[in-house]
Amino acid sequence: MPATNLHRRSFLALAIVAATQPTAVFSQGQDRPVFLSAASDSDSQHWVKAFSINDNQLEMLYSHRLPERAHAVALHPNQQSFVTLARRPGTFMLIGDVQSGEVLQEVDAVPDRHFYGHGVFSADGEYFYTTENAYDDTHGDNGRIGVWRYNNTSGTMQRVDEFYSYGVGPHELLLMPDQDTLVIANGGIRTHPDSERGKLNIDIMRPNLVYIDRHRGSLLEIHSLPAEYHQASIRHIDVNASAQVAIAMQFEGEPFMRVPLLATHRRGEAIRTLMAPEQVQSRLQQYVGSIRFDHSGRFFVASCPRANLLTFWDAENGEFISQLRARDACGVCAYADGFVFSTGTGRIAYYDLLNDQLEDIGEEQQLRGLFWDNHLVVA
Amino acid sequence: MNTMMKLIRFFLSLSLLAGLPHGLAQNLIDTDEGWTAINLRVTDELVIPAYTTLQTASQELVERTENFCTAPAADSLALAQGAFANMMDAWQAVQHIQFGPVTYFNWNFRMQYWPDERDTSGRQLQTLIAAANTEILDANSFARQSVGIQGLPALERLFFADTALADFQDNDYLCLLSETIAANLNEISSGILGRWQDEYRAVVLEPASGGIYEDAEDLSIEFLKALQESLSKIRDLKLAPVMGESFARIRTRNAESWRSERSLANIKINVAALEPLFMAYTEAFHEADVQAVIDAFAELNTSLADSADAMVSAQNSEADYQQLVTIHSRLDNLHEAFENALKNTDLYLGFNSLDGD
Repeated sequence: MPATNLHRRSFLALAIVAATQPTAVFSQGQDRPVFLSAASDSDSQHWVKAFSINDNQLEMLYSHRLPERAHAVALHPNQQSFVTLARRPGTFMLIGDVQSGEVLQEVDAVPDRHFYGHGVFSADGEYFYTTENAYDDTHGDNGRIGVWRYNNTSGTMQRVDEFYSYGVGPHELLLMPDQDTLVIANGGIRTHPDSERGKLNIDIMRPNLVYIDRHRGSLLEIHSLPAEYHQASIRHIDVNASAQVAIAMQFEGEPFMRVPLLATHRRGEAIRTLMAPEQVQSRLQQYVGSIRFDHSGRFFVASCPRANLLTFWDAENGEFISQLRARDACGVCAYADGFVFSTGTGRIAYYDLLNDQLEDIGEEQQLRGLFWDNHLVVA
Repeated sequence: MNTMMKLIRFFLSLSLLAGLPHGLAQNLIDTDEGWTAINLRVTDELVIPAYTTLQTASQELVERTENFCTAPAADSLALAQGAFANMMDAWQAVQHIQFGPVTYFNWNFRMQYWPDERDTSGRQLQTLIAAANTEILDANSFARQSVGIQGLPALERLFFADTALADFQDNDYLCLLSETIAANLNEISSGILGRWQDEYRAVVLEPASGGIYEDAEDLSIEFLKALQESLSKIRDLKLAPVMGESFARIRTRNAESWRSERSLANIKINVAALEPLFMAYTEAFHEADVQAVIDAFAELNTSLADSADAMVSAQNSEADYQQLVTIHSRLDNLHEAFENALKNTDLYLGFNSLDGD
């Protein structure tokens, strides 16, 4: 099924220039890609699962049962180990070996903190940073960045420090290309484990995008949206090689308001908000689930599971490119000339952005009863 | 059906298979044609007729409002209130459809902005009336104003205020505003109906054309999701906030349409619209599950038939309050029966879309 195209012709001209990957996809002989994602099943059990794609067939590699829903999976820079983190208000991390699936360590959050489902390694792999909630700080900026020292030999980590996130409710964080800076999406929503997943400050929330020095935790830059968009929770981000940050938001205000749910940012500049055409924007239900650049770093996908849409954008000029109907699609990662995506209906598919081709991956028995969670990564 | 479509159908068919007793999950309708036949029947026999009724009611509302405003009097106000009631009846019969044309141009929220927890509509109407701003009453301008002043709740505040007749007799602006709201509702109703007839029916016939849906089953899931979400909405928004935790905590002003004393009437109409929608899709479900849903509808209908149209009596009568509790419980049973029916099929309504982070 082709994507619905609004700027397809101009995009194709750009895409030809931007394409950096060979067109052969999932062919035999390549190093085996390992995809990782959290998932749940119809028995309400929760997992982190790994699969590979070879010769357009999906091969399930391993699964580890988790005590509750995880959210995202972070990869070590040498791609040998992974960490999956509990979603809010969970307190577990699981470290595993990417290839074998061996569990290397199960880690609990430190007292009075919980995770938000995201973490990121330093470029040298020696440190791991997690977004956390210091939930007993019920009035101030309760966002924290947990700093963990990672032992490459044992594949284990221990807590060594903690920074402020300079906001409330930090969610995704990533390492900037300079390798010294962390960019943090402070979603702005105050929560407390006693209120389970309740949101406590929607009327006065104030999300921001923050850059900190990862060595000292010092604030480098802080950016907010205009006051009229203060209920647009900055949740998910990606960063390309030129240090451009793509931002996905979830609007907590009135459902009828037309507000930007996507944006881009470069340090030293204001946040640039993006709007889809009305016929797309009106369907998004104020929610974007995940965002990832393609391999070129020029284009990105934003998954919109409430609209059952994947939307594709040109980060350079901020233009909407196209949309693809995909029921409950949320997890996305760059692959070859496009993206692999996962859905809450168990589906795994590859969308070739360059050639506007969609290909489903997998066999019946492998994906039976699985609900892939928000995020997907590939090692 | 191409390979990709088969794969999509296949994946959808898997989502709830594992762990189910007796291997019940299966695809009971396995062709695009099978789904499209039902979708088309729903469109032609339920959706378009309901929107036609809405459009007709909106025309009557325009006429009755204009008639009332030529010389505001008790009898013409009663007729205008009656036209409002007919309009609300018609809207409640199709309120569960929250996809397709009703979402264009914010038509759904402009028709009815509710629940209005911050009393946006009340505050904005008060400001507007105090300023007697006639410039925004131009149709093009009015359509761009806040949804709080555009739709049914705004008109209900004007028509059903305790002092409505005296207010209208004293203040010509109320008539100008009411006529504008009625015309706006007529414009919206005509727009939704026209789009269904001229555009969306074609989508129902060819759901994958233009990439709007993955296939016909995807559109069927949209209809079934509308049913499920409507049951949740009635239970969680229309009843629970009114009931509070006990009889002593009842808050009838949290109810929909409490001013026109038709809060339960709305729910009766909602349920009456949902039942034929479910019945249209029975062949997608196992027989025992269909019977369980039918039984749950019957129990709920019995409770609703025994109830007044207004909820206000539940404020003064514990027996009436208990009737609300029973209705809530039976809605819950119906919701559960429908969920169980879904779980025994390949029809999965959402995971990330319902509980993402």
